[in-house]
Amino acid sequence: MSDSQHPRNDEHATPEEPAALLRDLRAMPRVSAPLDFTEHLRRRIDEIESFQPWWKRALAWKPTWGFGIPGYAYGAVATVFLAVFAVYMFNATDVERDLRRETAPAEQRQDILHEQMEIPGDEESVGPATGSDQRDAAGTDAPARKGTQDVQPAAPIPSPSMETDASGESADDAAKQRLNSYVPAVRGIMKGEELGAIPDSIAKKDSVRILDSLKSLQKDRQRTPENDPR
Amino acid sequence: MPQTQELSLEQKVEERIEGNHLDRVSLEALSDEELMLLFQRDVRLAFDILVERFQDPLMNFIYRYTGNMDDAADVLQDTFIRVYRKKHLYKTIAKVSTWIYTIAGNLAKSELRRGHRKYTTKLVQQREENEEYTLPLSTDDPLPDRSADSSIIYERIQEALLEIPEVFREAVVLRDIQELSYEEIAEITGMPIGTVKSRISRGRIQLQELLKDIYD
Repeated sequence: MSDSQHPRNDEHATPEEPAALLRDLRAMPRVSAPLDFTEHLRRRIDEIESFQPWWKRALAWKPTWGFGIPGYAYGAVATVFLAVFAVYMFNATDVERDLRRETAPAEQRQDILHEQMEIPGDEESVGPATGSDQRDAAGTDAPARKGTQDVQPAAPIPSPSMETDASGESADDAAKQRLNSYVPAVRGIMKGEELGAIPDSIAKKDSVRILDSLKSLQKDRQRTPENDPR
Repeated sequence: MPQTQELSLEQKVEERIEGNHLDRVSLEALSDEELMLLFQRDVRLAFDILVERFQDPLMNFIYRYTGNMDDAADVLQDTFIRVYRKKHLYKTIAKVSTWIYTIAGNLAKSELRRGHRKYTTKLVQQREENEEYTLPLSTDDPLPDRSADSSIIYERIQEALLEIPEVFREAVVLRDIQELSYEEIAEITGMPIGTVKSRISRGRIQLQELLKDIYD
């Protein structure tokens, strides 16, 4: 037996059905809305509408085309697309370099094009060797270098005291000039930072760390067996 | 089948907008669903007509449910504001009346839970305050002393309604005062028809228990 056929749900069939109550319930007076409710509501809605900022109204705009997707969805997709495109364009182009290349003589154009891709002259081979490097070269590295003698060595930078011949001097000067003129491109959030400089935040952390280690060292020294009262 | 109906409704509405037949007289002849579709296309007059159609039945429902005239007026206003702002959520597969009743019922429940009831407006007082309020006098109920008795009975019924649980009260008010069908009540409350009938029946029994001095 379904619910609709159940005698409990059939109001006319049940003997205990309160017929008088039902009659009075249906005859109860109807309460009406307050006077001028429509006008009051219209004013209230106008107030709410005017209170909304223009951008909120624009975002709430829902076109009749495009499956009725709200306006802000189109805005979000367009923003993401523009952001990706802007990042791509920023990475793909370098106006400053392009301008320099355009204004440079023809023989330097290729160099400008590749200046961000390669460092002219490796620091290990071009830069002045330190004392330890020289020791290494004289000692442990010597046999290894023997095996790679056929490899073209990088042009060394001559020290001021060392004199070279005229042809070698011009090549060395060119390499030196290229090295000095090399300015690595620093872009994005790191722009304006000096390359190779330790940022302030790291330097401060380092100084705090050093101070801590000095303090702990001092404590350890105080606890040496001769100073320990135990 | 509903999709075909929806399509034809949409077409009718589009034709009406294109033909610019949007004067009050022609809009008043339209169904609730057609008016709602027009309102979704920003025809403000359609919303005004919907408000005029539903304001009195909704006010009656909310008042019987909350038992407070001020709260009922606030809930009524909030209901139409919500209809205005959420018009895009209405789908033509549902009836406009059940959709609006659902909103009103939810807001009335929230109002009750907030415990806003400061005082209960007596029906007799309300009659004096509100000029639009009229007692429906039928031909078989002509005597003034009978009317006086009835108003006392109605007061007692209203008090008893507020004493029964909210779920039963909602079902009884929608069925026996608003005279909606079981299907409409099921749609409004989101319950199966069997549950709705059961709630109505139990609500009536509880009411009769509370009013047994009148109905025994």
